[in-house]
Amino acid sequence: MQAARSGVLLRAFIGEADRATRDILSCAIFRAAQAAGLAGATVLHGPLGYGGSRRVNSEFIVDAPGNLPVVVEIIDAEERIQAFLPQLTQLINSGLVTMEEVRMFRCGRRTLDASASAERGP
Amino acid sequence: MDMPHEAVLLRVFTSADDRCGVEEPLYRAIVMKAREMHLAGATVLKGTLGFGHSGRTHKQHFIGTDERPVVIEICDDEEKVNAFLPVLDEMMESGFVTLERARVLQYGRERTGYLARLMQNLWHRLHLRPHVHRAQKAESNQRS
Repeated sequence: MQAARSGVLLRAFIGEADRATRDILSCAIFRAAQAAGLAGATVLHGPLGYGGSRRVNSEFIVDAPGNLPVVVEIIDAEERIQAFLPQLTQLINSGLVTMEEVRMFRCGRRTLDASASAERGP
Repeated sequence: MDMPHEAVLLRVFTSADDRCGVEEPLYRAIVMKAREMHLAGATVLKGTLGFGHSGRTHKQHFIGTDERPVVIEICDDEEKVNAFLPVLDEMMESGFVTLERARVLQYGRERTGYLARLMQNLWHRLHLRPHVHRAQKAESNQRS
C-alpha cells in the first residue's frame, strides 16, 4: 500500500445523447483525458436523472428514449486537473461539473514494485 | 448499527474481470469482506469505459475479457475504514483507492412493507382518509 497523496476528483454530469461536434460527449471527454495523460478516468451510466432542464430522463420510458445520465469521473493531482479544465469546458456545452478533494493511493500486493517504476502517477 | 456523523467514503477502482482467489469476482469478495467486518455499507457501480495507470482503455471486448471498470464505494467511520485497508491490500493484486470526507445525514430507516404500501395506495385511490404512517404520526406529535 502506498502513502496517500492528495488529489482532486472531477465529475462531469452529462447525458448519453450529448455530442461534442461529432463524437459522443462522454467518449470525447474520455479521449481528451487519456490524451492529456491524466491518472485515470471512469465512465458510469445512470438509469434515471434530471438536470438543468428539469426533464426527468428514465430508462423505463420505452417510447421516448431520453437523455440518460452519464458521469465521467477523472482523478489526478490538482494542478493537472486545473490544466485540463479549459479543454473540458470547451467540450461541454451544458452540464454540471463538480470537483472534490480526495486522498488517493494505489493498493494491492503488486503495488510495491510497481510504485518504484511508476512515474505517471496512480 | 450506529453511523457516525463524520465519516469517510472509500472508493476502490477495479476491473470487472479481476478475481480474488480462483473464480470469485474481486468486487464481490470485497463487499462480502466489508460485510463480514461490519462496515456500514458497500455499493458496487459498474462503468462502461475507463483508463488507469497503464493509460490503456478498459472496455468490454468482443472476444475475451471484460475489462470494464467497477467502482466499490464503502462509507464508514475513519477508524473502521483504516482497519479495512490492510485487508483490502491483501485481497487486491493492484488497484486504485481514494478516500474522502463525507457527512452522513441519514443511515437506515424504517421501511414500510408491501402490505402497508398496498393499503396506503388503496385508501388514496378510494379518496378515503389517507393512511398516516407511524413515524409521521410521532413526528407530528413531537412538533405539536
